[in-house]
Amino acid sequence: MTTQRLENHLTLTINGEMVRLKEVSPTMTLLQYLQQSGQTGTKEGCGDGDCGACTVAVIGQGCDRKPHYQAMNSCLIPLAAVAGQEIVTVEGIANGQLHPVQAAMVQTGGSQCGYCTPGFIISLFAAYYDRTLEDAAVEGNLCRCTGYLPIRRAAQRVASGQSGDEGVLHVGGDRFAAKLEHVTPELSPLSYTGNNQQFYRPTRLSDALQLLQHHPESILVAGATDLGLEMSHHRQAFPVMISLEAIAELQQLEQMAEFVEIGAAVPLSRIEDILRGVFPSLDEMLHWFAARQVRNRATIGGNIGTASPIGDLPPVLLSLDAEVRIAGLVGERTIPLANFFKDYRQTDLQPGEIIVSVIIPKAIAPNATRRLSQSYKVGKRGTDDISIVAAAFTIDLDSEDRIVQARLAYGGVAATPVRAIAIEQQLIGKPWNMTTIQQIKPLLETAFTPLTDLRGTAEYRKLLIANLFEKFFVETSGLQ
Amino acid sequence: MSNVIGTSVSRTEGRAKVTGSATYSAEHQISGLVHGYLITASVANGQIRAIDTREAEKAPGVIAVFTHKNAPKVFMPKNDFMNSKIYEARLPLSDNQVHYAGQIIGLVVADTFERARHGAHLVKVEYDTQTPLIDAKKVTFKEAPPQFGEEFAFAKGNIAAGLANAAIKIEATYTSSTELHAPIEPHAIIAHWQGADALTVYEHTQWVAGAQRTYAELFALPAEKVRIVAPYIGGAFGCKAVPWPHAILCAAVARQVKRPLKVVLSRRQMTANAGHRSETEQMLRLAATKDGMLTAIAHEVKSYTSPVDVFIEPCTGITPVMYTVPNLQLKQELAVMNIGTPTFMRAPGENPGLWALESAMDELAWALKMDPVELRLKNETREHQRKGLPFSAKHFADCLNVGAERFGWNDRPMQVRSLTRDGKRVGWGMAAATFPGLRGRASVKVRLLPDGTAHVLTAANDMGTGAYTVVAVTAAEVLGIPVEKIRVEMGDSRLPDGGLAGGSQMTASLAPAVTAACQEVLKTANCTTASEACAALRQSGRGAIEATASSAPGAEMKKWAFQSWGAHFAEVTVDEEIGRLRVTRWVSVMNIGQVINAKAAASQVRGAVIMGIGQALMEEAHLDPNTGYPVVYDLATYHFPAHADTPRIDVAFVGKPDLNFNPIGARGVGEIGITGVSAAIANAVYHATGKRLRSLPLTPDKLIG
Ligand SMILES: Cc1cc2nc3c(=O)[nH]c(=O)nc-3n(C[C@H](O)[C@H](O)[C@H](O)COP(=O)(O)OP(=O)(O)OC[C@H]3O[C@@H](n4cnc5c(N)ncnc54)[C@H](O)[C@@H]3O)c2cc1C
Ligand code: FES
Ligand code: FES
Repeated sequence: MTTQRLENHLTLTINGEMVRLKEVSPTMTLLQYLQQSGQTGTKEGCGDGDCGACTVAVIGQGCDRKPHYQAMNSCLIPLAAVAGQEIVTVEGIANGQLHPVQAAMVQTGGSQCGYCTPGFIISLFAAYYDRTLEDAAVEGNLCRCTGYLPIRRAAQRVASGQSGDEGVLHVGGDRFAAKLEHVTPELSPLSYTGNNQQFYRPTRLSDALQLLQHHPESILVAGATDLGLEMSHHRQAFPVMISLEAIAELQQLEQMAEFVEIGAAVPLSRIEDILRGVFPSLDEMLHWFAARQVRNRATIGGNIGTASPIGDLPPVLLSLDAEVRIAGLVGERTIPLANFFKDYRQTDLQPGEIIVSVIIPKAIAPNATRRLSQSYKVGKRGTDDISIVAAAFTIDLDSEDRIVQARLAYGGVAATPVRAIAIEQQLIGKPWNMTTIQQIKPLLETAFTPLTDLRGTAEYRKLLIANLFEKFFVETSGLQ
Repeated sequence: MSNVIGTSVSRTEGRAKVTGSATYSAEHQISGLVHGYLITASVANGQIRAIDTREAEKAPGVIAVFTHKNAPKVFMPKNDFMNSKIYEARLPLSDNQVHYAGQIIGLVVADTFERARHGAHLVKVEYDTQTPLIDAKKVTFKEAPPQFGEEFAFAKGNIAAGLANAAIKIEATYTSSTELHAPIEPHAIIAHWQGADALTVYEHTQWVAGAQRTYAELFALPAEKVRIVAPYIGGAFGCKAVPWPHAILCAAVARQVKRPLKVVLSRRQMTANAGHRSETEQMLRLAATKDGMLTAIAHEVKSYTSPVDVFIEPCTGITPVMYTVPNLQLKQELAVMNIGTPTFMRAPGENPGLWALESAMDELAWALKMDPVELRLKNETREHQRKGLPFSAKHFADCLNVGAERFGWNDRPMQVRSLTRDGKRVGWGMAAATFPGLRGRASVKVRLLPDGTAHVLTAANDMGTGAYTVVAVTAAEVLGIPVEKIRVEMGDSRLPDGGLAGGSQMTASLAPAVTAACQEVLKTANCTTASEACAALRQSGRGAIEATASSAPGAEMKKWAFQSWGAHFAEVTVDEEIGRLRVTRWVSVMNIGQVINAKAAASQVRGAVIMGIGQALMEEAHLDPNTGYPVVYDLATYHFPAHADTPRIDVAFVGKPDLNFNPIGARGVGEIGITGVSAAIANAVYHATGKRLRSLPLTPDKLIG
C-alpha cells in the first residue's frame, strides 16, 4: 500500500460527463471547480456550509446500501473526496423539459431573486428520488426572499404528483431513476497528488494506519464538514490527507442484542435511518443536527474527533455511556467516551491512532426496570443551527420509580462535553418526582461555569442546564 | 385589453432561475479575467503607519497590489441621489486613515482568486491606533441633519400641555439591533475596460441608470461610455443600490491593470463593507383620554452612522401618518461610531419606527383596557399630519377589520397568561403596517413584431421582486396578447432609464410607463388592438413598430398623500422553561391599491413577514465591545429564519386601485410587509407571558423562566 504509485489525475462524472483533472489541488472544493469551469448554475452563498446555495447531488450509498442521490454542500467537498463519483448539478436535470421539481418551483413562485434556487432544486431533486419530499428536505437551504412558503408548496405539489403538464415527464422513463439501477457507489482506493498535496483514500484500516505512520504530518479526513471550512477559506495547508471514507472497517453499523457499534466513518444520515427508534435521544439530536446536506457527509468519528465543546453527539453518547474503539499500529483499545475528551479540543488520541467505532450499550442498569432517555438542543433558530446548550439525560428507574442510575451530559457549558457526575451520584436512590427535581435544580445551576458568548449569556446557560432537566422530567412523566 | 392584471402569473424568468441559467454578477464569463482580493483593516480607529506589500508583489500569480500609497485616481461624484450616488462619501484608499474595523485598505490582483487571497495575507500592516468609539452609551449625539432634503424635527400643538393633562400616559424606550441585509448572493463586480475611456460594469444594482451616471462621474467619462449589465440580482433589500467602496476600487484598478477584474466580497467582508441597518433607541411618550383618544405623541430617536458618511435611520417618518393627534413632537439624533456605513434596509425608518410606535400603542391599549384594534380604529387619521394632505384611497380600517376577522381576533381573552397549549404559553398580538406610496420617472421601449410577440425594454431591474413579470403582465394587458408572447429585457444601461428599484416604487413607476409605451405603439400603428397591428405589419412587410414612453409623478403629489396600509395578526408560543419563542400563525392584510400580480405580491408580503420574524427573534450583528470588530460575520453567526421558523402566513389584499396615484392605481408592495411585524410579535409575547420586551431581538435569554 505505502509503495502505491501516486496518480496525477482525478476523474469524476458531472451531469453524465466524465472529466479528468490534472494538477488540481485535492483540497480545491467541488464548488470552486464548478465555478472555475464555467458551470455557474451552482451558487456560492457563503462557502461555509450554512446556506445550501451550492447544493449538488452525489450518488452515494444509502442505508439500504443501494445508490441514492444525496444532497451535499459542494463548498465543503474536497475535489479528491468525490473522485470516481457521479455528481448532478442544477444544469443537468432539465432535459429540454423541466424536471418535476423545477416545474413545481416555477408554478408556485419558489424563486424570487433566484440565487438560492439551484440549491433548493437539488435538495428537492434528491428528496424526489428518495420519496422524502417533506419539509426537512430543504432544512439546509436558506432563502432570504421567499419566506420558504412557496417552496414548501412546490415540494407538496411534487409529492402529490401535481406539478402540471411538465411534471408528468420523462417519456421513455426517468433517466435519473434508471441511472440508479446501473451504478455501484462503492468508493475505490485512491492515491492522488496535485499542487504538491497528497490525498490517499485507502480501503483497509491496516493501510490507513501504515500511511499514518509514514506520513506523521498527515491529517485524517472523514466527511470534511469541519475540515472543509479550513479548505474553503484556505486557512490551513494540507500537505497530506488520508481519507477515511472508503475504509470498510469504519463503515460498519452493527446491531447486536447488547449493544450497537457504529463505524467512525458512517455518515450521520445513515445512522439516522438505520437506528431510528433504537435510542430516542440519538434520534432527537440527529433531527436537530445541522441539516441534511451536512448529515449526508458528516460522520460520528468526525464529530467526536473534532472534540468541539458544542458538538451535539457527545452529550448523547456520554449519557448512553458509549465507548470508543481506537486502533493504532500496535493494536486496538476501547475506552469510555467520558475519558476521551481531555481538554478544549483535545482528545486521548495518540499519534498514529484512528477512531474505529463508537459502541453504545443497550442494557439498562441491573436493578432497573425501565429507562428514560432524551436529548435537547437549544439554538436560536428552528434548524440548521449551532447549540447554545445541548443536553442528554438517561435515567434508569426501579419498579418503585427510584433512580438506580443517572447520566446527565451537556455540551456548551464547559471546555469539553461533560457529565454532571457529582449530581448524578446524588440522584441515586432518590424517587423520580418533582420534589427531587426541585432539590437538584439549584445544584445544576451552579454545577458548571459556562461562558458568555454571542450565542448566549452565562446566566442563561446556567438556567438552561437546570431547566432542561426539569423539562425532561415533565415530558417523560407525561405531566404536560 | 385582456384581463391578466390582478391574476396570478408565474414568473417569466422562473425557468432561467430553476435551471441555473440565470447569470449573476460574478458569473459572467469574460476572457482574460483577473481576480482581486481586498486587504481590510484589523483595527477600528487609527492610521496606517506602514504597509509592506513587497512579499505579496513577489508571490506567484500576483499582478499588482494597491494601497493608499498608489491608489488609482477617481473623482468624487455629485452624490446627490438625483444624478449619482455612492454609499460611502469617502473614496476608497484616499488616505491612511482607518475609520472602522474591516475597512478596505488595499487590493491584491492576481491571475486566480486563490493567489490573490494568498497575496492579501502576505501584506503586513502597522497601525497607530486610537480607542474606537463603539459603545452606544458613550458616544455624543447631535441633532440629525436633513436627509435627502427633508428635515426631521417637527412640532405641532403643545406637547408639554398634551402630556401634562392626559388621563393615561405611556412613556417607554424601545431599542432595535444592528441588522444585516444578508442577501444570499454576496456582493460581486466585474469591471471591464475597453481602452481607457469605455467601461462595462457587471454589477447587481437596484438603480441601473444611476450606476451608469455614477461610474461615469467617478472616472470623468460621458455617461454613454459606461455600460451597466445587471440582468439578475441575488437579493438586495437596500444594500445593492449604488456602488460600495470595493466596487469603485475594482473599476479603478481594472483600468490600471488593463485587465477585466472581478472582486467578490466574503461574508466576513460584507459585514463591514456592504451596509447594515443601524441600531436604534427610541423614546415614545403617548397620552390619551380615558376613552382612548390620543392627545399627544412625542417620538425621539437615536441612531448611528460611520465616520465617513451620514445615514440616518429615519424612524420618525411614520409618526405623523398613523394616528390623529393634536400635539405631536418629533426629534432625531445621530452619533458617529467607528462602524461600517449603515444604509437603507427594507423599509428604512418605517420598520424600526413602527416597532416602537406599535409597541407603545399596545401598551396604551392595555393601560386603557381597550382592544388594540379598536384603539387604532378610533385614532386613525385621514390626513398626513406633516404634509397637511389627505390620504388617497386609504383602507387602513379595512385591513384591521378583515385581518381581525380572518384571524379570529375577537376570541382573544383580554388577559395576559390566559392561553396555553402543550405546556407552552400562547399569545396573540397585532400591529399596523405602513409604507409610503412612492413613484419615480421611468422610460420604457416597446417593440411589436409581426409574429404577434412584443419586446419590452427598460433599464430597470428585478432583484427578485417580480418586476420582469409585472412588466410582462402590464404589457400583455394593454396589448391584449398573452404573457408568454412578451419578452422583457431589463438590467442593461443601454435600454431606456427605468428608474430605481427602491422605496417599493419599481411597479408604481414602471407600470404606467409600460402602459404608455404600449398605447403609443398602438397609436403609431393606428390600430386598436395588437393583433390588428401585427396583421398590418405582416401585410406591409415592415419589421416592427416601436415606441418609447416615459411617465413620472405630477401635480397629484401636491393634492394627496400616498401611503400603503396593513395590519398584522400574530400568534406565538413561548416555552418558558428554555425561553424558546415560536411564531405559529400569521395573518397580514394589506392595502396597496391595485394588485398587479397576486402571486408575486403575496409572496413579497410573506417573504417580508419572515424577514420581520427574523428581526424580532434573532437578527443582531454584534461588534466586539473592545475592538469594534464584528463578532457576527457569517451565516452561522448571523441568524435569520430557516424553513423551520416559518409559520403559515395568510395574506390578503383589500381596497381599490389608487387612481389618484397613477393610471394603474398600484402602489408597490416590496417593503410594507416587514413593517409592524416585530411589534405584533412582542405584543403577542406580552399577551402570552405578561413580559413587556422593549429590546430587539426577543432572544431566549429574555424569555426564560
Ligand atoms: C453547516 C454546518 C453545520 C454544522 N452543524 C453541526 C451541529 O448541528 N452539531 C454538531 O455537533 N456539529 C455540527 N457541525 C460540525 C461538523 O459537521 C461535525 O462535527 C461533524 O460530525 C464532523 O464530521 P466530519 O466527518 O465531517 O469530520 P471531518 O471534518 O472530516 O473531521 C473532523 C476532525 O475529526 C478528525 N477525525 C475524523 N474522523 C476521525 C477518525 N475516524 N479518527 C480520528 N480522527 C478523526 C479529523 O482529523 C478532523 O480533525 C456543522 C458543520 C457545518 C459545516
Ligand atoms: S455556499 Fe453556502 S453552503 Fe455552500
Ligand atoms: S429567492 Fe432570493 S434568496 Fe431565495
